[in-house]
Amino acid sequence: MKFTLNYFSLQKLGNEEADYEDAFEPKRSGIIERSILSLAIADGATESSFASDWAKMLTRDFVRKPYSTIEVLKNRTRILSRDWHKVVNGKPLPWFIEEKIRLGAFTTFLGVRLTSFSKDTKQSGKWSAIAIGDSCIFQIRDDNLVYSFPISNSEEFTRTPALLSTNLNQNLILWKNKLVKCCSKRDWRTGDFFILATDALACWFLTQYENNDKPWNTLLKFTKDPSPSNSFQTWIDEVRRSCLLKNDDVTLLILRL
Amino acid sequence: MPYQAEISRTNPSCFLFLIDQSGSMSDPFGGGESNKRKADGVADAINKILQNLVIKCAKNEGVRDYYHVGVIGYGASVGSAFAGSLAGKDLIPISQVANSPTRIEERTKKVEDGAGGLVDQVIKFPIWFDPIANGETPMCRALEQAKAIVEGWITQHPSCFPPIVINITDGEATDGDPSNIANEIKSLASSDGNVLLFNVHLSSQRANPIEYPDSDDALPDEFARLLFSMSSILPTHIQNAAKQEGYHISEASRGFVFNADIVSVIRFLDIGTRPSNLR
Repeated sequence: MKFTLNYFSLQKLGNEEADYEDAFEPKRSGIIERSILSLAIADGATESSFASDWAKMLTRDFVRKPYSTIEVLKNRTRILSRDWHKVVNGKPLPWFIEEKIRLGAFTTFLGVRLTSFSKDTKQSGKWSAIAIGDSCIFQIRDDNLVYSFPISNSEEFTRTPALLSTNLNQNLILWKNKLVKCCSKRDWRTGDFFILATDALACWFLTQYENNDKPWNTLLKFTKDPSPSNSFQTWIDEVRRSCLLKNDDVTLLILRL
Repeated sequence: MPYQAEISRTNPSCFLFLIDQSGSMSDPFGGGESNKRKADGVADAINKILQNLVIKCAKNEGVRDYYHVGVIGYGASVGSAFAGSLAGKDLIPISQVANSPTRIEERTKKVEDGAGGLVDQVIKFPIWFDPIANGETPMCRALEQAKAIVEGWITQHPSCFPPIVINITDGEATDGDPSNIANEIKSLASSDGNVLLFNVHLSSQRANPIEYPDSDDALPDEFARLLFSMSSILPTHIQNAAKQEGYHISEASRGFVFNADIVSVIRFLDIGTRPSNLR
């Protein structure tokens, strides 16, 4: 099956590019031909250190070996947490960085896996997703929003979502309170498209939708622009200025089928 | 809407702490272990707040200057309580505070072991201030100095998230009624709202801790009632953040705690996404 993928990312206004703490995979725009496709986005929390490393580890790991169950997520978190500690420990650190490492890095996580029905038809398939926190996927079909996951209402966005941590004890409440969300065996077909977005843009998207707008049309136009990154940045600057978009790192993936 | 300004390195806010170092602080503290003095409670409170503020602002590359911080001591004298390389300074970036504790102690903290139990974990606890109990309680003079510092800050940062002044005391001012000067501080404002004045009352009374009350009905003495009346009503977004953490908060709740710590205020302030499961 053939997919067309476009990605856009921008750091919070006032921050350096190196301060961008979201992560996403795969990092390629254009046509992708595969029978199985995996996508992942993550949003490292401002109030934790080395969160971008943690977000990158989770997204890379997912696209290399996608999964859809909480048990696998728990196992992968355990393994990747050890890797994260190897990366951040290893040299003398000031007391406040040591304390931050002890507390752990935190991130949202959204992993999506699409499969086609068969090599012959290549017209439809299934998709599944696993999510913690408020990074979202929206499925658009025939100019309508047909599915929104894991959040479907703009009022559900908060400043304090429950997030996946490198500190395994901080994750106990995620497992206990069932804060990992899964959706499986949903259909896709040719002509559909998916939008993956971290919280600021996802919140804007749902707010616009609740106001009877079709926000996907605004985002789709960036995939047709000859210099899409420039126009995306211009548009983000505008919506931030008009306070329609929270000032935060922004990540957008658009997948057309 | 007030109290909406983004707190960032390009638009920082400020915290100014007033710490009571008067002779009466050598009296026993009613809110902790029996051998603890109020002066120990003040030192613990300010060190814990600064530790939490530094950690909140710490990132991979160091500490981001989302806040500038001042600490005024009042007792035998009134003035900047910083020592060492920070001595005499009124407001300094939080990164300088982070790098300049007088020493770093190790303390044990109970944390979940992942199997339903608790284990001891050693944490670094920086000390900036040791207990001091000496002289009168010139709270009015300290508040006047705070007003001047905050006025200067607002002039330089007119659109900042409003400064927060936190007064840690037993409430027994010896230089008059601090209500008027407290009101003058609260009437100062950036374009984002009025300056917030919060009070931490460390009392010898063996009464239950009280956090962010909305009336003075349950407060045990005149000092507590005075400090309550001087304290700002919590802005809506702080009320909401406190409610999310399970505090009983109403629209009339004030930035006042009795025999309790006020570290939670640091958590209520928004510099970006904070995980709800961060403990």
